[in-house]
Amino acid sequence: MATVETEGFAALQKKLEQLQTTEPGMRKAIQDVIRRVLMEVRKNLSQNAKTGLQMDSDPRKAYKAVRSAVYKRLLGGQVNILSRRKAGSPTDYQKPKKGLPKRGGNRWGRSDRTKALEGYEGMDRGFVLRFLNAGTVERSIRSFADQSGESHTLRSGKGNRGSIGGRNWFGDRSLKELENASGNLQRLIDEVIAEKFLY
Amino acid sequence: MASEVITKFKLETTQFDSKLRDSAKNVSELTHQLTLAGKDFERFASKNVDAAKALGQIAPSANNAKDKVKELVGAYNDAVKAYNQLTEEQKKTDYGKALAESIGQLKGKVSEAKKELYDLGDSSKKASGGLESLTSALGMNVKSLVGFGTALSVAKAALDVAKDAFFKSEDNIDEWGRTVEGAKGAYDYFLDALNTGNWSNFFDNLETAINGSRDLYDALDRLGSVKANNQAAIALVQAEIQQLRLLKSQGKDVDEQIKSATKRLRDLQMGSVNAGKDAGRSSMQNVLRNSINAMGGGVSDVNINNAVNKILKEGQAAFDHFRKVAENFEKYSGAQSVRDVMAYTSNGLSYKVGEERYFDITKLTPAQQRAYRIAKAVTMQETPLQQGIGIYAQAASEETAANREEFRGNRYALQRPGGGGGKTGGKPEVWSAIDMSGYNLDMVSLDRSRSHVQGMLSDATAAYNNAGDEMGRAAAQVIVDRLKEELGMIDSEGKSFEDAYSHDFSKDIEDNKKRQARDEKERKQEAITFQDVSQGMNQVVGGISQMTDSLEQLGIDLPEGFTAVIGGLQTIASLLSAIQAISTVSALLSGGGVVGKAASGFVVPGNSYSGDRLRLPVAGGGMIGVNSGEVVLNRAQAGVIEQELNGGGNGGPTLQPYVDGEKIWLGVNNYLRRSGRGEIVTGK
Repeated sequence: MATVETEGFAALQKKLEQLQTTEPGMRKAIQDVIRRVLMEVRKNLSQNAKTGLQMDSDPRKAYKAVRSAVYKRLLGGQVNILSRRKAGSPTDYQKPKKGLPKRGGNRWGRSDRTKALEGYEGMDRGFVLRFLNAGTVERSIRSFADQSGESHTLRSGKGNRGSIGGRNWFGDRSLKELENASGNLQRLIDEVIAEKFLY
Repeated sequence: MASEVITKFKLETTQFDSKLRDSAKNVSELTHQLTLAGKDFERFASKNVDAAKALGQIAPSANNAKDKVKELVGAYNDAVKAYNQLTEEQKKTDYGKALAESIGQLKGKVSEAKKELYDLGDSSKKASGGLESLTSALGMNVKSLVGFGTALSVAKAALDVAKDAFFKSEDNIDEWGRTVEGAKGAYDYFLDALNTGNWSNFFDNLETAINGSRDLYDALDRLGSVKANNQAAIALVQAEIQQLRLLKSQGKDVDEQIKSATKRLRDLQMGSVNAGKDAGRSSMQNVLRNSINAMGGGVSDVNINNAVNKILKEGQAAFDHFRKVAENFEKYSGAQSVRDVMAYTSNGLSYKVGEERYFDITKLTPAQQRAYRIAKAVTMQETPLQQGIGIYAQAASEETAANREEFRGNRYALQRPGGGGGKTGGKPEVWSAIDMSGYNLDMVSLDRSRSHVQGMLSDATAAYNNAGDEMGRAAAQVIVDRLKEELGMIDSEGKSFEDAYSHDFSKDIEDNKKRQARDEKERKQEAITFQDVSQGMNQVVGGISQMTDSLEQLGIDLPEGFTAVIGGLQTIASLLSAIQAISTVSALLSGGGVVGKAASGFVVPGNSYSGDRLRLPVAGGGMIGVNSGEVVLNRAQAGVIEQELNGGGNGGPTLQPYVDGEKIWLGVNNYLRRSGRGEIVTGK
């Protein structure tokens, strides 16, 4: 009459297999947790850029350029101040350039991008944060440096605009924010595992 | 100088996944071990089934039929007891079915042994021709009583001598008479036991039945002797009284002589009366005692005598009263039990066809049981009781005649009211010292009604006060003490006895209904508690040694892989230590149950994976709901988990901020170059 019930152990084994991070369900749950944490970190960094770099008066709100991303193939993520990739694909329709003027010469005109980069126009907040973070050398409005570093002058005249000292703000601050978030991340991952184990 | 623009991190889950895989592997191995153990236990179970089947084939070791019946009945009762302890589920298993089958076979064997006990004449080789010749003379099958103890062994010994020489001796006549009566009483008692099926009582009280019958023969013999022996003396005294009357009519002073002769006549007649009453009572007591003993006994002589008194005084009304008492107990007392109705196949196997309710005397109080047994005995033995009533009635009418004759004689002599039996008022008779010393103490127990004993006590007390000498007072004191003792016994036993008779059954009916409803409700609530489930699992470990012992006694070899079972079960501890590496189990501490008593934690078995239907007792009292597959830790294991959470040990995913400036710089430069922005221009 004595029997041994082993169904509970089979259920336990199944639970243990489901807990492994290679399982899709578990993976997705952890990625969701990472996303939640990184959003919090992004918010904190952005706030810190606003107050720490004294950019709260920036009409373009460059402090909002802090971005976060969750990796698809790894369990991890990043925060950065890189610029966004341009939306769209290479096959998108591009407005044809205007026709060359009949008078000849390079009369294409400045693109919007050039205007944004050289004129601080457009929405490239990331660029602003980057050069604030890294700083600049002495800049001249009529000269540029090619790949080899040789400086060229476009036209005569001087136009020195000086240099901007780098703040080196992002590296230390982001690391600190991620360290602060690690405890919360571990707690949330604990909850995910507990939920998966219990229910 | 390259400045960071990207900060990356990655979760290190290698250790976490590795531990999970190890835990799953351990569980798989444990499951495999337990599955093997389950197969081994199936072998245990099959051996148990074989043992249960063998029970039905048991052959008693006794040589004689009486002991054989006793042995088989004992085995049958043990098997029934074991079967009744099984749950309904267990009864449906192979073991339960085999046990039920064996019980049926045992019952068949008991019936065969009973039959063998009853019909011993054919198997006995000691019966002589004398026994057969007495069969028709005594009107009973003496051969069938050869196996019964003293009575028949005496009969057999008696029949070994010449019959005429045997009956020439008065002692032999009496001994033969006692033997015959003893045999008759035993035979009647045997028939009662056959009807009730209570064989243990039969063997225990057989000697009482035989001795009671022998005593009855003595009483009847004395009655016959007294009547026969006193016949001449009575006739002589009566003739003497007639002559004295004649002399008185002639004017002679013979009053004292008439008075003396009247007294002698009364003594002689009362001797016959008392012997007749004694015989009548003894017959009725014997019949009731044997019938009550066949039903289980437990009734004292006091209550049997009270019942006899009631019958003698009230007659048919008493029989009606006892019949009604027995019916009330059987129908309304609530002493009901349920038993299976079994049917038998042609080869002796039994099977259940239904259930029935029956009157269960064991559920009555002891006083009620006594009252019921007496009432039932009177109801069943009405015809034999009437024989004793007849003897007593004849004695009572003889007493009336004797009283009348005494009255006439005394009136004729003295012209004054005669004294009766000491209870007609006036000054009680002063007994002489000689009479007092010869007072028959046994006669005080003839009529055991309280009023009569009280009356006799009053007379004895008066006689003590009026005794003329020391010897008279001493003799009277003995009588007084004895009567006081009997009065005390009547009061103590009679009250509970009367209470049983006057029991109010209406309350019993209501209590019985409530009790049945409550029992039915409890039977329906077959809640599978987690404790039952966990105990079922723990029995696998704890019952192994007990099962081993019992199987060894049956000569069964231990199954293979037995030690692997122990090893497999012990991996529970290693499994839990692997699970401890998962730091998230700490979540269970806040909301789960910690079983304080368990030696180690365990996993909730079963099939209920949601709903929290399984109940788990917690250390603080009460129950919590758990599901199958949940892990429950004991206090020590929970403490380990807490330490891990607070920084000790390795476990869970770790966080490693991943920053490599060079790679980022190159990556960003590549990106900027691709997008046409150039590259970061910084000093290196």
